[in-house]
Amino acid sequence: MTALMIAVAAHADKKAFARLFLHYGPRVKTYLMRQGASESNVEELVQETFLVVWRKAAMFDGGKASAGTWIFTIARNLRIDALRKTRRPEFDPADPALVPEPEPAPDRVLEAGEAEVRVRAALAQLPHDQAIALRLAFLEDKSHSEIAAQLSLPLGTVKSRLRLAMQRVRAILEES
Amino acid sequence: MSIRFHPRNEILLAYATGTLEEAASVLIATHLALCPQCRTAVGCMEAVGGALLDALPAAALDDRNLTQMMTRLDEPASVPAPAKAADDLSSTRSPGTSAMLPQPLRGYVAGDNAAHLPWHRLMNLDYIDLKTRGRGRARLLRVSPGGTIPYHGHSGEEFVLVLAGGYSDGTGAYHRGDVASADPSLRHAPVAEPGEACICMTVNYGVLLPTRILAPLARLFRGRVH
Repeated sequence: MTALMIAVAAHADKKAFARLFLHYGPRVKTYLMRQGASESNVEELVQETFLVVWRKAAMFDGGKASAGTWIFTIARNLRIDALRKTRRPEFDPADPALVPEPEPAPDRVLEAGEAEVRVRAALAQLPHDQAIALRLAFLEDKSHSEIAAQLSLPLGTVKSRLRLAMQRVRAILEES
Repeated sequence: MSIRFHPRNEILLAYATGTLEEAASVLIATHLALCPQCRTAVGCMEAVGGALLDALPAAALDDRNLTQMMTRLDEPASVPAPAKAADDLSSTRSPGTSAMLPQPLRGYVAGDNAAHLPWHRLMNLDYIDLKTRGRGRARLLRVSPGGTIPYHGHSGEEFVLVLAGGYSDGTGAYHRGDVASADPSLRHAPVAEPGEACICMTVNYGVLLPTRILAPLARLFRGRVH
């Protein structure tokens, strides 16, 4: 999928775009429905999401993010604008005030494809309760206290499950 | 100087999942512009979002959608793409000076050079209220070199991002890019470092409470009114 996104970014490849849409469109629809989009306008929002995927394709950096991650961030931003009627402030990678990354050592750079495989493996290995907390946080537009209420858990327990889950994912990503 | 104080992990996670309010999101996104380490952390969280999206069950989306989608690709964009950062910088700015405000904060104030913004004065402070939606109150604050903010507590959570100069309180010494988080238990009297005005972005949930002599008096007064 990331190779398809790279083809869209590099030469506005419409065939590659259509295949991305066929794979991710139905998943973005599920995501937006869970975030509270209504049946009547969810397909319009899916198309809006992919219109941004198409128009901003030149900014896609296959060395930094997978296609799934890129599409997730676009769908997330769009639903903040459309469903919450508020703005999504973001830093600008081209901002002269941005403090750049120190040059990474060559053996520590993970290809996005490799990173994607590792993130999936890390998620599959998470204890069930941590995986549930992550899914609620990312996919259901729930604050940490709303997750605590839904699972009848103290807020501190939810926060520590999320923290442990992210620590484990990072550890697996940073393994050489 | 490298950044020593970062936002808590749960705040970065709320930013990555998209549940953080606008006021705090402006502060976090501006910190991210200054902090490669937290950018990496948020990138990792977004990769989790991508993997979770990929694993979602596919909803029904009929062929009509693909046909419509493909015809829309050649539509002209209705909203012009946002101006490139380099274009909206005024020529008066000296690149890289500590007065320079990063994006997205720059978009919330009327200019990119902190020295030329429309500051309001309150006692020994200059401030600008930022327009954000939601509960949090976002402001820019400027304190003269060596200036002190009177001892106070907080009725809710507070985040402070230093943009220029620096300040100290009992919890540490903060400089450009550092984020200080205060909960309602913190009482402090921040002192700006000498040499350069200290400019911060603050986000408050709740109000500042004057303490020391004022607080007991305030409590006593409230007690009698009831």
